[in-house]
Amino acid sequence: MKKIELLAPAGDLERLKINLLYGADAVYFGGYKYGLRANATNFSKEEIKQACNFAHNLNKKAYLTLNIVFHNEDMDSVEEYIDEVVSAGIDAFIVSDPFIISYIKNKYKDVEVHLSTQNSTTNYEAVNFFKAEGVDRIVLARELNLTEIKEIIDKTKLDIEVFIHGAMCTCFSGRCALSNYVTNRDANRGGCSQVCRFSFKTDNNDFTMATKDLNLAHYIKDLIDINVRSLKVEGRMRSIYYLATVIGAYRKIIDAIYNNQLTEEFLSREEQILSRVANRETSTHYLTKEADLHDQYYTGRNEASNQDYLGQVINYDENQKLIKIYERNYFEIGDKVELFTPKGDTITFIVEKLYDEDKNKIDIARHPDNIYYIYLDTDIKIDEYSMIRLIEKRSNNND
Amino acid sequence: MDIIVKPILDNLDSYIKNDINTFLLPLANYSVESTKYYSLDAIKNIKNKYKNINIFISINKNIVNKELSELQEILKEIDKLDIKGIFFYDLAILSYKEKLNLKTDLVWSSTHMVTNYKTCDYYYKKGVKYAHTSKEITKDEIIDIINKSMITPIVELISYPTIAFSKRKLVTNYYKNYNLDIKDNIKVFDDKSRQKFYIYEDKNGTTFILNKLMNGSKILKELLDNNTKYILLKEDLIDHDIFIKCIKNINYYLNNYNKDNNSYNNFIKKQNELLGRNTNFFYRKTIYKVK
Repeated sequence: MKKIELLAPAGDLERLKINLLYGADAVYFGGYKYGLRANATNFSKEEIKQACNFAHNLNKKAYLTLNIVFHNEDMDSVEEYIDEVVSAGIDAFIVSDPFIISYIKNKYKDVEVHLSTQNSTTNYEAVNFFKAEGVDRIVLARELNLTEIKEIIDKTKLDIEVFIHGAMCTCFSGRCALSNYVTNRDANRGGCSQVCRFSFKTDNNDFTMATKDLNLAHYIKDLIDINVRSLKVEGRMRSIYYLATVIGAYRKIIDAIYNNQLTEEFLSREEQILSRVANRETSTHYLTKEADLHDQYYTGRNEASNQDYLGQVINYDENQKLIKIYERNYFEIGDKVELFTPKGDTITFIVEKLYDEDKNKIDIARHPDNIYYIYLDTDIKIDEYSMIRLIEKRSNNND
Repeated sequence: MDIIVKPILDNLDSYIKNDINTFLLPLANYSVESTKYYSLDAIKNIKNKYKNINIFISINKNIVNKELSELQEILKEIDKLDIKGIFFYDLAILSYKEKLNLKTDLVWSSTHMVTNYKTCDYYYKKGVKYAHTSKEITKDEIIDIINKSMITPIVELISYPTIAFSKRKLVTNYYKNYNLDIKDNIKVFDDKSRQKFYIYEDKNGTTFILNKLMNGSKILKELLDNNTKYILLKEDLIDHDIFIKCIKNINYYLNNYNKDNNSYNNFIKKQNELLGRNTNFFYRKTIYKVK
């Protein structure tokens, strides 16, 4: 049996590389047309080619979202676009429109089609319909529980993909036009303005329906056990630090399960890491129960900024024992920090010596986007794209 | 052109008296986004009572595994009733049409997703006869679908538009959060856009309805010019007397179409007085790229 796939979101080439280096088996991203994140960076034709090459060189896969709800005018050039993307080397399209599915499957036998969650597929008969249409994988609706997912897999034997982490829609995907009516932005063509995170008024109170984020870290083993094919992380617009942390954590959890090394303590540590990059509270939503009172907010948007991310490692000078970092958040001598690498190594240490870009000794790295050097004596290989996170402020740690 | 009415009453006399003979009845437990549902028995009774009417049934919820076997039995029952068509959202129904060899026609009705002629044709080739066009596309896009697709479009012309559906119990959650007595509905508004919504909940989830009546009367002439076969009028949340007057106006216009140049202007004037002037997205394109 194939090892379960960890599928990560890529808003641009840098994020794509981070995801793959930190352990994703495959990445998904939007092209310059027809994706449901019209306002994300999205990939040009040349970038799609680079993305596919980068993934394939690591023996990994690249999927392109083509999951808008098409209007007549969108149909004019979609076939040409698909042809271009196939020639760039894409492994699969994520599609919601059955006409597009039939076009791709009729023309390209070797390119997979994954049915988007935009279709909100909720039962095995609908899965069987799409299986007969040649669909290779279904991204199920996020409203299903574990038993329902298992039954679908058992009765269809089709590859099933499940969302495990990230933001959740309040309504069924594809069944929401709130954005169209409130902001004139078409949710089903990539313009969703996240109206479900707005605060509305009733005669007496605020009315909000914003959902907490999804976090199924605790149920990865259950999802593996029922033969889910792919675990999907949401968040094409998220930061590289968030992606490195989330993908890195899930990679470790999955590997530990397959190596029979998953302990409560191990899982708890990874869940703690995940919780530190979360900018909202999380929940399991529908997986083990009906979503209820506790899965949403009642006071409008609830996003916290995360200041744990201290910076990205540019390189490590093994002779001088200096890490060169691109700083993102204030830190200082005495802070307890953790360096983590794409391969999953971590080094926890206290910042003892700190230098500015000209290698003058300083006490505090005050300015985001500046270059700093941190002294660290280690034999562990520190790869490009390693990152440093704060564990404990100097004022709080007694080490 | 035939008018399909989605009524709010069990007794259909007042509609039939006004020359309506085609109805859309949402099936209880298997339909969503409606303020009125009909059990299969109620539909059978209606069918027995009114011999000469056409009935479409709506089965538009997202079906889950445990409902599939009962759904099959329901579909077999419906197939015996000489029903004109089933409005469907979930592809399980299309799958069962073939598997169970059902003769009842289907209406592709995936709410906001019926937006282009090529996908309409895809469904037509799969044996779907009708398509209930999205309310979020323009009049020109609808006309394009009418002219370019082989499917028979059903254009929703007058309704309080349903705009979103959630499996969550959002109304219950609201009342619980504020420790208020739980009701099944609530009205909310957005300060910036000044849009108001009627939100209500039943056992299948929560439906959002725009609290502004969509009046598509203005596009009726062009629909007729382009040989549209069906328009759909939904009565949910509309005062029954007003709804009946609206039907009378439309019937009068249909009977006088192309006979009198003033009839269109008079018709629009009357309908605007009755229903307001919200033409929804018929003349307004949505955007999706923000510069």
